[in-house]
Amino acid sequence: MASSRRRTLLKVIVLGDSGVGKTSLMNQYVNKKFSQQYKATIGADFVTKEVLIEDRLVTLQIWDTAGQERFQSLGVAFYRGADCCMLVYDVNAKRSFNALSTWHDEFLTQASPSDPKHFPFILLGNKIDIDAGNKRAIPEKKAKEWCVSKGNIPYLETSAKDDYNVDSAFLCIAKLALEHEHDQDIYFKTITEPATDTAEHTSGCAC
Amino acid sequence: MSGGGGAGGGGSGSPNNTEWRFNQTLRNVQGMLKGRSFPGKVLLTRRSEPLSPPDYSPRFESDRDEYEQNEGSQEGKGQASGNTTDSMSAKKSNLPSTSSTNSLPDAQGLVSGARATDSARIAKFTNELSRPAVILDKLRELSWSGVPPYMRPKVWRLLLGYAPPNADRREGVLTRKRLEYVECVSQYYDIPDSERSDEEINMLRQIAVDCPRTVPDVTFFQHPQIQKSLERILAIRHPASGYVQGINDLLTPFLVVFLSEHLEGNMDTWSMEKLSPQDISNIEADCYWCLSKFLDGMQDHYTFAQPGIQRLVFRLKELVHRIEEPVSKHIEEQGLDFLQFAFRWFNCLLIREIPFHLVTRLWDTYLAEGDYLPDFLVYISASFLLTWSDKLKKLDFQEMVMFLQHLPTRNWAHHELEMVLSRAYMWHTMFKSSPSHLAN
Repeated sequence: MASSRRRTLLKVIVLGDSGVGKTSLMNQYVNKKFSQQYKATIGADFVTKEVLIEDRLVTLQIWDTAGQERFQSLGVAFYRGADCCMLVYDVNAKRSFNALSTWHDEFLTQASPSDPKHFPFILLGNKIDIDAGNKRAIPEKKAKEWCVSKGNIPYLETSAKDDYNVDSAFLCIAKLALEHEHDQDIYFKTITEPATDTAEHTSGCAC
Repeated sequence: MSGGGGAGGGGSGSPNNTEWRFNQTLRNVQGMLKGRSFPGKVLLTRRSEPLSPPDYSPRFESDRDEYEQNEGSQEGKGQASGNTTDSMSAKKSNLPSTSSTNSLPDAQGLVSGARATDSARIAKFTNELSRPAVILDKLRELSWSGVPPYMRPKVWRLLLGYAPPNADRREGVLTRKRLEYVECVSQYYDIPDSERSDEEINMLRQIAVDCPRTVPDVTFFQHPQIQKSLERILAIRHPASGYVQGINDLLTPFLVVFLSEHLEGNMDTWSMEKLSPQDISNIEADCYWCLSKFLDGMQDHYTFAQPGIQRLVFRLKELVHRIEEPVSKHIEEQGLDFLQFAFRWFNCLLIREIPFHLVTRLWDTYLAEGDYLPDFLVYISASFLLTWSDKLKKLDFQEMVMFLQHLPTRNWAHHELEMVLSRAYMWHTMFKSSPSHLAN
């Protein structure tokens, strides 16, 4: 019954401009809910989710950060020890796309990972549901080009509202982080615990 | 995880001793609030019966005696442990003497909540407010333990130095300030984007994103006219720091209080139709000036890198360590950084952590503290955090972050808040003149 198994902790940081839907993505992923009623995130919010990836139980510790630039100085406290980073922009807001490079670079500066060139990132273009895509400001091609320029970061288009590609996005980044960890041969925390989880099965990474 | 189960009588080891001291403090506060002491550990999260309003003062006299005795005996035991000597001597030097207790702001007022509507108390407020020149120190003292709701607009304007203490000048000054605000709006807000700097445009965009997210669970704030007012006030506010997310939250208590002068009953039933354009303009102006004055005392909380908040978080950590070491040790062992939960506490002054209907009461104390607020906030936050000290010690990192970000305060009534404030007050009194624990 209570077989023990190795549990891996992955610390995921969600970054991007204010109002692009970071909290909504996280809440859709973890609670399967969408609300128009969020308050602006101050500092960072925290949730966890357990997933089963290739027979390995993985706990994602997701930090949903505040979008205003003013809070970037807090980065060190929240980014430290991050295993991967999820960048988010709003496909209808050019500005949020233009800010991506800053978020990307700022993250690497503050988290100072040991191998910044290969650190696992993913880019999400959120809010593709809005106005059936008619208000879109950034074509998919442009986003993909940006991803290539940053060392082939995987790119997914999502809708937190319609729950489109949300699970895939988190699974994708989790897998990348695991691979990276493997490559790096970094230690990971192992905890003995009963396997009574509500883990979800791998559904194949879309990236 | 040290200091396990020893919640009983004063042990000699230092963790036990700290815990014992903490329990003693709790018991004292409880005693003061309820007129009796409790054996053993009292959980503050426990919901309790409403305070019975009448006859606090005679009962308080005896409570205070009891409190002092406890302090005395505690001191005796404290000597045994080397670890706590400096806190003990600090207490010796500034707590128990009756005269100093009496001179502290509204020592009797520790009870409050129900007291705010107490007729004797209302009479005191009426008396202070009817003076030709209000004595602000007295008003502060009274207000610390809660202002009767219908007097809040008047009292807050005075405490913040927005309305002058002098009664004959008051209306004139307010009229002038309100006009000044209207001029500010036309000069800085009602202008085309071409006349704004990039920075200002960014700020306006941020404000526009946040206004609809201001207390979204209270529908009244979603009214288009209220949204517009929020936007204008935030846009004009404070050139020093600009707009920082969370300042929108800080505006809401002012808005609610100044609206309450014009709208009756519960906020949920308020209708904007009852307000004239002049009313709205005045309310907006009052909110603007009061928010500005309020934030003047915390300038560096919202400037680049928010050094003021970082400082408070640091001091909170030190204070918690001093008050209840097992909890602080546990937090540290679990790798939890105080910044990871307390940043929001200080950035939004706990608004996000308690039900909205208690916020104006909390603000009474904030405004009464005036310039000392940042310092006192550290104590309030410690008191708030340690409300759940038993619980916290049982949680691992993940559980602790989740718990601290969604504290079970939803059903809190005034009583729970009063408890937090009273305890903060006591710890402040105990520790304030022993600087070692808050050295930078």
